[in-house]
Amino acid sequence: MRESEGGDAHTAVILNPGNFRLPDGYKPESGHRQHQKSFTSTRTALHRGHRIKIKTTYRIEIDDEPLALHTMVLDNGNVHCHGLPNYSFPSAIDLAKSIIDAASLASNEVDEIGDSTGVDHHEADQRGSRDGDKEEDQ
Amino acid sequence: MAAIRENILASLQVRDKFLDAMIALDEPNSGVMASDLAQFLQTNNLPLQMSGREQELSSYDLFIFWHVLAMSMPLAVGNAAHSGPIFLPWHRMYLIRLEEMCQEVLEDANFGLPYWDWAADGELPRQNQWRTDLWSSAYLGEARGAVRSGKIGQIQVRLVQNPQTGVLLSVEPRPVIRDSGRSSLAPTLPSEARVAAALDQTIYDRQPWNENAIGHRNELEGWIQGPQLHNRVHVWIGGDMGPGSSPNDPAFFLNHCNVDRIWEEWMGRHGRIYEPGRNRGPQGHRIDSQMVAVIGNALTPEQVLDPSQWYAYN
Repeated sequence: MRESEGGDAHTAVILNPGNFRLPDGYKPESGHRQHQKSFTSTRTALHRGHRIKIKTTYRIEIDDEPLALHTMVLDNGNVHCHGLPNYSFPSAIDLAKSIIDAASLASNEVDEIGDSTGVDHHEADQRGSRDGDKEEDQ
Repeated sequence: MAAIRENILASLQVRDKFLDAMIALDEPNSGVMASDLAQFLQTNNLPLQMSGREQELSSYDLFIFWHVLAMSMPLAVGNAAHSGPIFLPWHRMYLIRLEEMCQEVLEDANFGLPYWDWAADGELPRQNQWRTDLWSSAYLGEARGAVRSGKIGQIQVRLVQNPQTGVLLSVEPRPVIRDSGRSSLAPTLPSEARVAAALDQTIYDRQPWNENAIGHRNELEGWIQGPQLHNRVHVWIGGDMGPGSSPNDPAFFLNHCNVDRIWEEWMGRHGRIYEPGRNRGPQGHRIDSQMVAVIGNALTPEQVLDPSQWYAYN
């Protein structure tokens, strides 16, 4: 890591692996940067003494490529994806359309710094949910 | 003496200093290359991937990297910066570090980041909301399309997160892009009534601590009947304010400064209280949880609950 010549004193602290600390409760997924392709979220509610539990799994593909960022259903039924972290959509199709629109801002034609670990991040269908429930087909 | 944070539309001096600081910090002279960030991610076995152009980045770009990195780290609820109690204190810490950098480049230890009182603009007719002075060349530049006028027209976007893959791309430098007032999800800015509702919440946060919680944090973050307040501003501006690399637009900091101001007002009414406390609630969101930082020392919510050593709002 080169020393900054034009930057200020703060940047000297940046990116020193020895200084970086992971947040409490962060659990790195097994393996190097797993590539999840579907996501399950669970909503619960109580109504007149009865327990309601709704599990929803989304696997969203755009041009046969999976949406790789966590996607979930909020209690109000809206769909939320970390790719557009401040948005929630009335439908998954609306979400996918907005993802397409936003992705147009992230076009890239060259890769000079790409991941050189050699790990195939598209290998195997990594299924799972953040709450540990098994995926259920909807 | 602590800095004073003012409404950007109320002080030409603050406006000019803010814009000058943005330009200065956006010079690609940080000494950090895009490949350095990629290497940092690999060395720490972090879940964020990078690809794209090799180029020297600016100090401002490092704030984009920091924001995307924090968002890429899932916790029991939300991530290391959003969708949970940590949302407000993490962004407070984040703004403090940017403010300190601005003070350095401006050689003004008393400079305070300005805020944008978007709820005031939210009371205007819809068709006028994206035509205020804020979106003129004297302030932030074009509300729609590529920003090419005024000082913000000099800002170059170099790091963009792909919302489909999550990969952080180092791209050919380009202007900031906006699409204000065109989203059907947020055709208007937040209203004063919604701000009042957030201030009336008596609880900072509670179970389930996430986007479904009833409390001040979640009202202010904007998930309740969303998008509202903070989230609504992101969606209303659109363009580069959409993905996780949203700090590319300097409007991000004006938004978050206002969010922080509202939180400060809430604490003025309800006390400097924070939930969850020690040893309770989701890990990474507790009052003594060290927050994710790549610039400056990492702080806890407890350490930023009272910001008077750094700033106060006018």
